[in-house]
Amino acid sequence: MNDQTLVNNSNQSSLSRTLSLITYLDKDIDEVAELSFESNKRFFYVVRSSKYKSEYEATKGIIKEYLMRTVINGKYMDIVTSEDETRWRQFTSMIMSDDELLIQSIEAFVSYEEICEIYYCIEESYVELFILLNNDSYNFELMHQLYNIERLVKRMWDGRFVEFHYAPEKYLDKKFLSNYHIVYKRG
Amino acid sequence: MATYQEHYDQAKHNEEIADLLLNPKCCSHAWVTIITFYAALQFVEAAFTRTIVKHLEEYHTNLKKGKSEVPGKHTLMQQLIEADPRLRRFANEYRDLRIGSEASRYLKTGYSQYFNDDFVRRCFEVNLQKIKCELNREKLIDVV
Repeated sequence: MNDQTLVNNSNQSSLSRTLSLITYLDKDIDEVAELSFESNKRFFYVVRSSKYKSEYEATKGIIKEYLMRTVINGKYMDIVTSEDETRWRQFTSMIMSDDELLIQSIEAFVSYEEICEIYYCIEESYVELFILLNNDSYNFELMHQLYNIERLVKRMWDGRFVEFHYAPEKYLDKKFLSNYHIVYKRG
Repeated sequence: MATYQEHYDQAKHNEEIADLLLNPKCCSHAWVTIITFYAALQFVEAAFTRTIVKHLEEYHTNLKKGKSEVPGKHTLMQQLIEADPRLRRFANEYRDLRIGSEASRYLKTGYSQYFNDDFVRRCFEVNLQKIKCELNREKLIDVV
């Protein structure tokens, strides 16, 4: 997918919906992911460690309530819960190619208008994403949101070493990015 | 391998120098950010001596055995912070400091308008203090 530029999708992304879910839950959930592998159905996967087993049923109830309040393009939704972290991770990597993982990885980022370009580099077990920002000064609140997305994205690339870099476009010498490929450009 | 006390003393030393450069008027954005980051790093390394990590250097060396690719030490540090629920609460603040201190490596002149006065002051007065406070609350460092 070298030098391919994605068109910005104005719809709320699946990844950002997943993040909304996590925020809504605001509980000690180990992992939440949304995977859609049928055109008309979405699946939420919730992974919880056994130490929270007593809260497990309660959590499923909260998610159901969230889904009832959230209309996602009129699609049906189902919840699949699992306490087996390994099984979920294997499943994720099985159903997604590198290109698909890359697209999923940037999906939530591009909804932020401060993000103007995203570059990537994939070398076997090493994945790097370089995110350029168009704001005038470092915005702590924005960056903390991006770091939270970053953690979720890293889990998608299980077994691979994923590193994120951020820089203000205005002050970055683009020659520095000569070994990277562009995956997103705003506008 | 440095002891808890050596890491802690170095952290305090870095913190005092950052304070001197920052107050009353900041005389070097870059250096205050870098020294503040290294103060945070030393506080976390002191905390590691009271966790299963013990020593970052040794942990990193052991990780490299039998593996072709392992993260650099700074990235490993970030990963260890995010992996430990006691440290995770300040993972974002630590990341702010790391980004600020790394910026001078690849940014063009003028980047101090991006990582400006407010950035430097918040890094020192808010981020570093939060890191210390959380570590102290978890009894991983003893703030004196």
